[in-house]
Amino acid sequence: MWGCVCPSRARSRGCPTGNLSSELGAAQRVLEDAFVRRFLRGTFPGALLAPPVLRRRGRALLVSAQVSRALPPARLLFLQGYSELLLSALHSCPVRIEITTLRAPAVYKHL
Amino acid sequence: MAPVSGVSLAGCWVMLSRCRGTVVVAPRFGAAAYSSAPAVSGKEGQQGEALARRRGRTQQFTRSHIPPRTEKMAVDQDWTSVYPTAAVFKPASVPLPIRMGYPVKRGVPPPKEGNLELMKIPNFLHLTPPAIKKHCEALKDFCTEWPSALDSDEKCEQHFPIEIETTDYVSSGTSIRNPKARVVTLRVKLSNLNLDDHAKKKLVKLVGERYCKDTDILTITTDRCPRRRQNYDYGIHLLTVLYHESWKTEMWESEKAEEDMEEYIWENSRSQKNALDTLLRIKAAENVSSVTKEELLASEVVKNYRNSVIALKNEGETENNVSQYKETVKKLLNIQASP
Repeated sequence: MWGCVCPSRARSRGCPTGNLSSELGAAQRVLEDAFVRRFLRGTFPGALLAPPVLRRRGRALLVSAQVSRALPPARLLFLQGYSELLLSALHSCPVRIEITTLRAPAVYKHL
Repeated sequence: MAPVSGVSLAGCWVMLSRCRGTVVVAPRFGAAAYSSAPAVSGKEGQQGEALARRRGRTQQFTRSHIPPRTEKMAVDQDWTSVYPTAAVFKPASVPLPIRMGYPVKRGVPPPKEGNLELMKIPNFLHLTPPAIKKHCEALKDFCTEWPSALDSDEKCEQHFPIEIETTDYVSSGTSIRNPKARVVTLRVKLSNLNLDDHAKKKLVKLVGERYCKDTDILTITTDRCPRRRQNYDYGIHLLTVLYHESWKTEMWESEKAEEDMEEYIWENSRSQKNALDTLLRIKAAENVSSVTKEELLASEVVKNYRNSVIALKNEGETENNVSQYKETVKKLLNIQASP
């Protein structure tokens, strides 16, 4: 994807990055991203520690999600595979989900 | 190799390795846990807990934490196998103490563990110089040599005078089609075409804005057809038609008037008439034997005057041109320089 770099504020909110300014189908990409975020929030209930990072490499959609260690690994991997399969089928493009588990969310600042 | 088991057996925790399918089974009583296979990356270390059961302890499971892979990495390891393709930043696989993010007040940027910023940015860990060398080596089998006869730009231009420019578009969508990809641009230098004076002037008049006088390049951009191949054919057809039409002379071209001329021609112009008239009258007034027009035209002063007028009209008014004009007029009218 050729692109303009999104402002860092949008990034910190986990907004989709990539060239969306004047491409055809930019609106569809935004909708797909929004759907993927909602889907992941529901599939990993309470375990998603941060908004997932969505990137596109060519046609594929790469998702990097931070998940807590509350779930046993078997369940985690099953959910990952299930999400990948379902999202790929729904959006007709390869969707790859990378999960990193953390004990606790990375704290930026204690108030 | 033990089979992959995705089921949590009663009383036994199972650690799954996604890549290799090894299974570590830690039995409840007694025996020591098997160490995980070396294929386990730090990601799995964070992800699945290895059930390293301490010997002779209670029946509770202690989730001991596998240290990240970075601690076992040799300094001279093969980095291309750690990051063979573009991948997200894995803090347990990159042995660098990187911090990223806006620093907390009177603090430092956050560390790399769980750092969302590091995951968001594109990294080029898969494109280190050794990796690129490997890519080049692999690509060499598919490459052919550049033809040795074309070793300079001039030779390339001489053998291939027409340049075709097309653009391909890549997007993140599911479709590879892009209507902007059908545009074709043809560029050719008119000096490479076989054109005489009349043909060149006619061609330049026909194409109008598409010709650049400074670089002598004719640019034809076609996008009226839906496919790129069609646009290319149309562009070549245009070039052919222009070439042949410019060599033909139509009947109405003889009516070309002075306003249509591209550059100023002194012969048969008002300037020539005025100069000759003035000189003839001067000669008559001085009672010199009548000189013919041809002699006047061939004389040095008239020639210089002609050159200076042509320079003025064609190149515009520069200091040089105007002063030259002054000199030639003075010589023509035999005016002595004022003291």
